[in-house]
Amino acid sequence: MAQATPRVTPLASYHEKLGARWTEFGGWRMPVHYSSIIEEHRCVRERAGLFDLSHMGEIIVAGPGGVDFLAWSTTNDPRRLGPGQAQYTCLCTPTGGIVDDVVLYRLPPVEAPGTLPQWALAHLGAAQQQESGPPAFLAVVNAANHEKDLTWWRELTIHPPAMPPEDYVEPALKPFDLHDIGDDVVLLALQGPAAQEVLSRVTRPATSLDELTYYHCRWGTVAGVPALIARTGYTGEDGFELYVDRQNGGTLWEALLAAGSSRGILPVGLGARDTLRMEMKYALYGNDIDETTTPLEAGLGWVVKFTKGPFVGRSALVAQKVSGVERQLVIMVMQDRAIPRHGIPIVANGQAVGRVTSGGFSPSLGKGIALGYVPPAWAPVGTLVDVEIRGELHPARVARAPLVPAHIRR
Amino acid sequence: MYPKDLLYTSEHEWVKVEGSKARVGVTDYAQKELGDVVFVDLPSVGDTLAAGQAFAVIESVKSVSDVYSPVSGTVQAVNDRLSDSPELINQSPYGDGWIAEIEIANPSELERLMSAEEYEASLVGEEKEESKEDKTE
Repeated sequence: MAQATPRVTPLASYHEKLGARWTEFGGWRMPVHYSSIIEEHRCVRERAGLFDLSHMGEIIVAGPGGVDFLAWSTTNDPRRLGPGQAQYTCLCTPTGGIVDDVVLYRLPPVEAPGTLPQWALAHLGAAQQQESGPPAFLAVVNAANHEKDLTWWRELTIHPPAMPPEDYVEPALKPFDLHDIGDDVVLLALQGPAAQEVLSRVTRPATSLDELTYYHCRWGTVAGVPALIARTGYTGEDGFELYVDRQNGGTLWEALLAAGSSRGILPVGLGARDTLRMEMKYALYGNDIDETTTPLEAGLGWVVKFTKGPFVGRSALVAQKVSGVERQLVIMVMQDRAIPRHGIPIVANGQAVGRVTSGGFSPSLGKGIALGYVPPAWAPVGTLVDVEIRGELHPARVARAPLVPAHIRR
Repeated sequence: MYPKDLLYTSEHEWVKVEGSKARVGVTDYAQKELGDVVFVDLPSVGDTLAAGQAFAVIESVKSVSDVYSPVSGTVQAVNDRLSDSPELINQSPYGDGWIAEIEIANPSELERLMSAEEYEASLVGEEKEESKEDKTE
């Protein structure tokens, strides 16, 4: 895909100045690293790193019917979200394949004037800015799936695909809107044990961060810029994701680097983002999950809420839950110095039993690690398998995830 | 950056000719493009190589790259230190990060290699293309 010229984020010139090396990802030209992937990885695990994630897509779902639509079209239960709460969830096909994996925020009420970015003001009515108003949601989707998700959601409401009648929900009379705001938003992630200390230096009210727990969000100003401040991330470290207006992205980027300089903050590219998430066994769409894999196979059963009522993919997922999955996503650690890569065979008893879906070098362990699917017989922690690299078998052991302790703040 | 006493290939290997032997490694440009080197798959002493044949593999965190033999010949020695310290390729690409020594079978092949000036000039066009070379998974 991505034959067209890759898109660039509003911060491209800032990355260029910092000496970024570039890669193409999901149709975007993004920094892969600035200094070194290993150094940036360690910086996030030990101090704090700053990521430009403006390639991610953002979609606002607002209106009285929004929550019912999301409850039907995603696997988790958005009705459980209080104002300012977030959840990880999947969009599934009627057969249970993953269309996308998404972080869904129920937008918080406005507490102080001047804290609402334009991207929110433009689409939220006065009522939706109140705690008592109808819920409005922000869905953050993968860059490569952004257009697909919009089309999928729009088609679901007008030409739904064939599905078992028990999974179908008649569109409610209550209206809702999907607003694609991907072009309006700059998303920066500040991740690492020093993230709160650094962010509090430039956030008003500064005390608000202490009350903000994992998978929650609130409005505030950061470096004078109105922002949705969310305690979420994809690294396994404590940290924040900041959604601001496009024109304020540069101000925020420079302010955070300056605020973190005494704590050794570094800008971090997609290379370290990948090694950080692999150590946590966080799935990457397009590698580890796609429309041919289900949440149950990927170990994401915890985001499938079977008792919430009908949803797209429910019947297929119930059937798979009853019969048991035929393959499971596992994380493996190499027993020698070889480095497994995406696509190579996983071998057990001389037979190919699966493929590596993500592989690489773990800076924390100093070893090769891999994610991949194997039959349940080979999935228990401690199982020894082989991976085939350039025609040779190398031993790998199925490990307990995460490979390094997570430091997310519950 | 590009020592004058070495010869270079368009695939970013360098060659240091000492009598009938060629010591081979990858250039400073190559190690920067690769990023952190974390594994080197070395050839075996005694391997017979044709010019242009892939004879080693360098893995960085983000990529896997073949190293091509600049000359035909027989592998006389390999840099075993790279097994435990692959980062020597980043730290000292022309020194401790050398990869192998090859007994040169056909000295006339050396004439096809580039001088430091020619190699440096060839990189000007390459840098414009570099975003195409960096591929993460």
